[in-house]
Amino acid sequence: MTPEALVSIGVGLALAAAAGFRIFVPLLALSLAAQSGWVELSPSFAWLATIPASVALATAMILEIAAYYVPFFDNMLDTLAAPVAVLAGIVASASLLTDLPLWLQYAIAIVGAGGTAGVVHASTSVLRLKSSALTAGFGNPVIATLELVGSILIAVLALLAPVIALVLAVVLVVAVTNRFNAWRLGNGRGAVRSRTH
Amino acid sequence: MTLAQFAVSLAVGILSVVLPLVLFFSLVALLVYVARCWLDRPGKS
Repeated sequence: MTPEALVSIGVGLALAAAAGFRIFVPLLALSLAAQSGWVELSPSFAWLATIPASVALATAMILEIAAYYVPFFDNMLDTLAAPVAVLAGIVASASLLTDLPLWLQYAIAIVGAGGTAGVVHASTSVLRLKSSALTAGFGNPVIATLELVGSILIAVLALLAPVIALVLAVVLVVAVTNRFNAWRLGNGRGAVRSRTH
Repeated sequence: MTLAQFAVSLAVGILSVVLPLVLFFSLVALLVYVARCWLDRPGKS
């Protein structure tokens, strides 16, 4: 495997992590980067490097960002966006893996990138759900803003400094997984305690 | 890029967010309707 292929895997995984926060932000970043010639896309994803694709993605991104600022609507959007986030992660990753055989390209995209996007999205969904329960939805715009900043930061870093973005994405995935596990274990203990008392 | 292409791209962007939401809420409404019909069915003891 060439160093270029390794870097493209890293960029793909980092973009997938960004897709876990906001679906259309990394896709728009990828579309703009491909149009400017910064990255080379796989021939089957050449449609991403067109102006109509950028316009459509930018419109969808604006709507998505706005929708996450509506309390309680954002929780429903989380449910709906989960499979789409995984799909966006797969598309973002598969479009960059040009030097690999087709089976390996899709294996990495589906397992690695799809999994990364899914884990990040599930963790932020749980966090938003907790915020909705604790603050009656008033804390959700803060989470939405942090998600947006995280998504933009990781997507831009993935294209400009892939190694830093990958390290950031790995740290992020480990951190959110630990938080998610801690929350799950905490709930389990709570359930046991409520059964015993 | 022509104005028509721009309009189509804009519509695709809007529909990609709005259409799944409409489908989701339609499905929820349908499920609620079916559940109410099931609960109010004639001959229910």
